[in-house]
Amino acid sequence: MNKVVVNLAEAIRDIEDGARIMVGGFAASGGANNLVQALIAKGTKDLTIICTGSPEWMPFVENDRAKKVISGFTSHSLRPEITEVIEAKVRAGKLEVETVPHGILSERIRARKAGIPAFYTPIGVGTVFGEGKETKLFDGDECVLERAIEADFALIRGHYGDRLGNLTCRFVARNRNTEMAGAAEVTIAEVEEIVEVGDIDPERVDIQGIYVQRVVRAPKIVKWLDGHEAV
Amino acid sequence: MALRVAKELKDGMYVNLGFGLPTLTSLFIPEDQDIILHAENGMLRYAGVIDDETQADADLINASGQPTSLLPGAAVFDLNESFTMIRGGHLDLAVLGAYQVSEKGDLANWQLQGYHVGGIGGAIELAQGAKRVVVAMEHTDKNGKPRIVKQCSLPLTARRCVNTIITNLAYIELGEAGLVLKEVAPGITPEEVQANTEPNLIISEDLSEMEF
Repeated sequence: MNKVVVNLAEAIRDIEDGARIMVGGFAASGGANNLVQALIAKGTKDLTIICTGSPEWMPFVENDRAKKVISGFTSHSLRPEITEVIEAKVRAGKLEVETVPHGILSERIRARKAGIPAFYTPIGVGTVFGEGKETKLFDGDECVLERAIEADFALIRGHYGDRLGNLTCRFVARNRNTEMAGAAEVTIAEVEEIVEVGDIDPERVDIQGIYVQRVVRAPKIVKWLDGHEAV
Repeated sequence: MALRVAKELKDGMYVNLGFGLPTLTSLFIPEDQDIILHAENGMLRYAGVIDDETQADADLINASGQPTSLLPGAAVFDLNESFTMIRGGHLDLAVLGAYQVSEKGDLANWQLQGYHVGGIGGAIELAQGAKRVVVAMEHTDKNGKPRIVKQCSLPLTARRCVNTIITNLAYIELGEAGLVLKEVAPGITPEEVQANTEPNLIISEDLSEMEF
C-alpha cells in the first residue's frame, strides 16, 4: 500500500469542474494551501467549497473558480474590502453562499464520515439558520433537522504522513482536518514530511490512514488573517 | 469595558472569549486564579496574544487568528471536540460581541443589513450552549443609535440567550421583569444610559459605579 503521490499536480489530477470540495484550515492554521494553489493553477472551476472561513475560500472566489461557498464566515472577519468583493459577486449572481454555523458544519461533516444521514439539534432555532427545515420537539425543546454534508474531495493538511496515510497534526492545525478526513469520497493530504511506516507511534496518530487516499509532501504555507503570508 | 468583563471571570470557570473586543479581557485576568480559557478553534488553557512575530507559530493561534501560547495543563483538539464542549453545555461563560441585543435577550452579531454574506462562526453554539452569556459591546453604534433595542432589526444569532450586557456606559442584567441597570461607568448618570437605550431600564435599588 502506497498512498504517497509524487507531486501536487498528481494529487489533484482527477478534480474536475463542478466538484464539491472540503478544504481544511481555520484562520492561519492547518490550511491545505499548497493543494489549493495547485487547484487554482489547474484552472478547475464551478466548484463548491466547504470550509471554515475566508483563508480557504478566498483563492477560489478571487479567481472566479467557485460557484458556491459553504462556510461559517462568508464575509472576512478582519478585512471589509474582502467582504465587499465576495458580496459583490453574490449580488451579481456569479456566486452562491451558504453561511453555516461552525458547530453545525462540524456535525454535518462528522455525520457523513460516520454514516449518520441526519441529526436533530437545537442550534439555530428561531433564526434564518433554522428556517425551512423540519423541526421536532425533544423534551419540550424545539430542534432542527440537519443533514450530513457530502463532498467529492477533501483537501487537508497534516504534519507527518506515512505511506499508509496515517497523519499527525500540530496543535490547532488539526481544526477541520481531522474531521474532514474520510468525510469526502477522496481525501488528499499535504504534509510537511513523509515518514517511514512505524515512525508514527500508534498512540500519536491523529488521522488514521483508513480515511486518507493520497499523501503529498509540501512545505507549510501560512496565510495570516491580515493578509501577509509566510512559508 | 474589558476590565469590567474580567471581573465576571471567577476561579474555576471555563470561559470562551469571542472574537475581537472580548479577547481584550484575557489581558486582565488575575494570575492567581484558575480561569481556563476555551478557544473555539481547539484549545483549553491558552495564554494572551504574543506580540513578537518571531515567536509566532501559525499552529498556535486563538479563534481571532492571533498567535498565542499554551499554559501548563493545556489541551488541544479539533473543531468537532471544541463544539462538543460548547454545544454540550460544558462552558461556564461565553463573552460575545454584538451589533444589537433586544430587551428579551435576543442577540444579533453576525450579519449587517442588506448583506448576503456574514460571519456566524461559533456564535450560535456559544450563545445557546454556555451556561451564562455576557455581551460586551459599545452602548451605541457609530451613528449614536442605541444597540440595546426593543427588537433586533438585524438578523438574529440566537433568541433569548443574553444574561448580562456590559458596555462603555453600563452594566445591565436581564431579569424576569426586564433590563435592570445595576452599574454605571465612572462619570456616567443613569439618565444618560437610559437616553441611549431604546427599551425602558429598571434602575436597580443597589445602583453603583463600576469598580475595576
